Amino acid sequence: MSSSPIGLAIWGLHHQHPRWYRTLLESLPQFALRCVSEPDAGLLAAQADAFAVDTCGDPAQMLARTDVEVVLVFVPHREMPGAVERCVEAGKHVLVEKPMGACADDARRVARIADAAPVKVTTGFYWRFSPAAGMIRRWVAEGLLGRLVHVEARFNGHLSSANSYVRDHAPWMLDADQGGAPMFNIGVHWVDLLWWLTGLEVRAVQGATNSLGEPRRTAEDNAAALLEYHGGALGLLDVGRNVPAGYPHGRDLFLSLRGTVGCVEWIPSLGDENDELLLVSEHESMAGQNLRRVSVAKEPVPGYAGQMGRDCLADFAEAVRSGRQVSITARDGLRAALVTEAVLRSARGEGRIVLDNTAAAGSDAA
Amino acid sequence: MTRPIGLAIWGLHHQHPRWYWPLFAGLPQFAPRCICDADADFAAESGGFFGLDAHSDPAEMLARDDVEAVMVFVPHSAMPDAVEQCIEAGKHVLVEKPMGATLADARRVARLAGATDLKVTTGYCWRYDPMARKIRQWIADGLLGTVIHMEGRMAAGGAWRYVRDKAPWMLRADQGGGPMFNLGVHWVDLFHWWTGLEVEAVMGRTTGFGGEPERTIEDCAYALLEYPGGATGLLDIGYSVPPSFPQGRDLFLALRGTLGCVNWLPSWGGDDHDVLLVTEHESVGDAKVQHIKEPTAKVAGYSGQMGLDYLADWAKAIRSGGEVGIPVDDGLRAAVVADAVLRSADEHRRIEL
Repeated sequence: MSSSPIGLAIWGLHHQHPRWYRTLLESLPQFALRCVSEPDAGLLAAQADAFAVDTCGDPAQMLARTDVEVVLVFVPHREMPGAVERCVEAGKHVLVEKPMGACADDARRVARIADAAPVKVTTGFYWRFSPAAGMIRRWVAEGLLGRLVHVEARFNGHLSSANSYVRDHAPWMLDADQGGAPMFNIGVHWVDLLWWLTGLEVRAVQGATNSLGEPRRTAEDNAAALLEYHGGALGLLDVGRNVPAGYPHGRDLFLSLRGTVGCVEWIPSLGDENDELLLVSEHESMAGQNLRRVSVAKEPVPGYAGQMGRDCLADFAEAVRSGRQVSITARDGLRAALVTEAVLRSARGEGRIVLDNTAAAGSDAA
Repeated sequence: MTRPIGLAIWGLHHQHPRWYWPLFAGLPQFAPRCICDADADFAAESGGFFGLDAHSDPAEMLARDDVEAVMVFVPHSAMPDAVEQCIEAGKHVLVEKPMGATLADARRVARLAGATDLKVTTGYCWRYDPMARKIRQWIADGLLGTVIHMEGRMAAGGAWRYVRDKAPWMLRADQGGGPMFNLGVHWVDLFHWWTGLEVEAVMGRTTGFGGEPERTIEDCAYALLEYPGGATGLLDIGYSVPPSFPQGRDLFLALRGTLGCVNWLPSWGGDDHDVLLVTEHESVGDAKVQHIKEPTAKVAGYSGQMGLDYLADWAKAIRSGGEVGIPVDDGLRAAVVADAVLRSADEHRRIEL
């Protein structure tokens, strides 16, 4: 297995994440950033110094480079399937930012491309690499919660975060047709994480949304959903931008799982501060200490999602070099997109939506 | 000093009579006179606990001249009849929420209350919690702006507690003993009391754990509430936390608005209230983020200080002739929502109210 750094390109700057990932790459010697591609010449010129690598307005030039093995795709959501296809055709491994498209059909197209691709295609569900998430997953696997009956997940950014998309040259995120709104763009993180933690598949959803103020947008600001899982578990999903800017750490994050034997509540940290866990279990292994509060430290790592982001990319690098399957597949991305899109369809008046999970399982060959 | 109000407790196959009992040590406004339960043996046995006369025939209890008010804790399906009998006997009534086994029962209680000058109330004690009152004031002062979302979690311990506490009828769905109808009404009421918002549609789902004790009620109930103007609410109500859970129940309330938000971990067992208030309102100056840990008064008995305060308020209404603090119509409003959530869960559809 080669130990030379993996040549990397970033495609798309009209997105919040490229510069945040740039910082992260400084902690990832597995990668060597070679170039940045963005057809908006003005934006490309304005951000060139921040990346300090070659730039090209035409992605074909970037894809033709033999020193680029991997592309991080941050184009507007609607353009993501086309971008992934071009990367794969050029023989490049791909990390396409979640949600992998503007809608579930886009995500499905990416998943089909990935299925047939001889290269690695993944997406950015970095929460799987949270040490606290790993702990919870082990507890679930060890039976400390028993049979799961309840999940809850909240991910709420601040009220003015819609402005940040304008500030960060990504106003397309405010367009409902671009899948930029909280449920489709952010909710996928929690939907995926809940699946990864529990193995439970969503069977049906009901949702409601609302929108506020300026800047004017067609995308929702807030979405709330009832989730029904195969096996009978139920869940609540609350994703939006509805806390004041001064909210601690800028976001309200929360996950909980409840089972027949125990429960866990998690206040996740997106930054370097500790994650806080409460585990309460009547499992025999917990005798004498049925209640545990655990504060989980993370390694401070600058850049997008800190240690989680770094470990997610490092894992991707290892898959690229070793040839093993990626840990986060495009089918995983599709699974989450199907759920979040169903929530939005329900909110638009379609009532309770029953999901077809076969697509996520790969049974929807073109 | 005003003479104390002679009080009867009707219905012992319920968790609350024994839990309420310690409160009366701090309520000189009341003079408990007797207990009553059709289960004569249990009534006799309980007479020793309460140190009161024990009746098995409610007619005897209601005929007593020294009883002016009755606290009704009979099984939910028996509540409307019990309230009617109390009113016919000229007694003021505190009927435990949810005021019946069904929405029709709650409507009947509301009609009975509406037709009498007697003081009929129900137990939405959280309105009397000092922190709940503070939050209500914050909302009125505009610290949250326009409320756009609420969340309420009330996950109590397992259904086995009702067997332990000699109230096995609570395990029957036809008795309205399930968490949404029995407990969810607390948060539904509080949301309304805080904001004035009326639920206009609901989506609900329920699930059960199976196992013992045998039961037809749900163990967990969830609701997505829709309010006028687009505000939403989420409810997570259940008999679903392990016995070792702190305070024996998982309580959480959150409100989010266009200017601020509040997260509240209510105290139930005497721990401090834990509140996070974050607001951009100009009145707070630089104190935009406030973590508030507020001790609760250590009061023995059901709901502690808030239980004491709402009973005292009821006593005041009885003696003064003023309005009760918790009108039965408010109990009905909450029951309408809880009933709709359960229907939505059964019918797999959104229900407009």
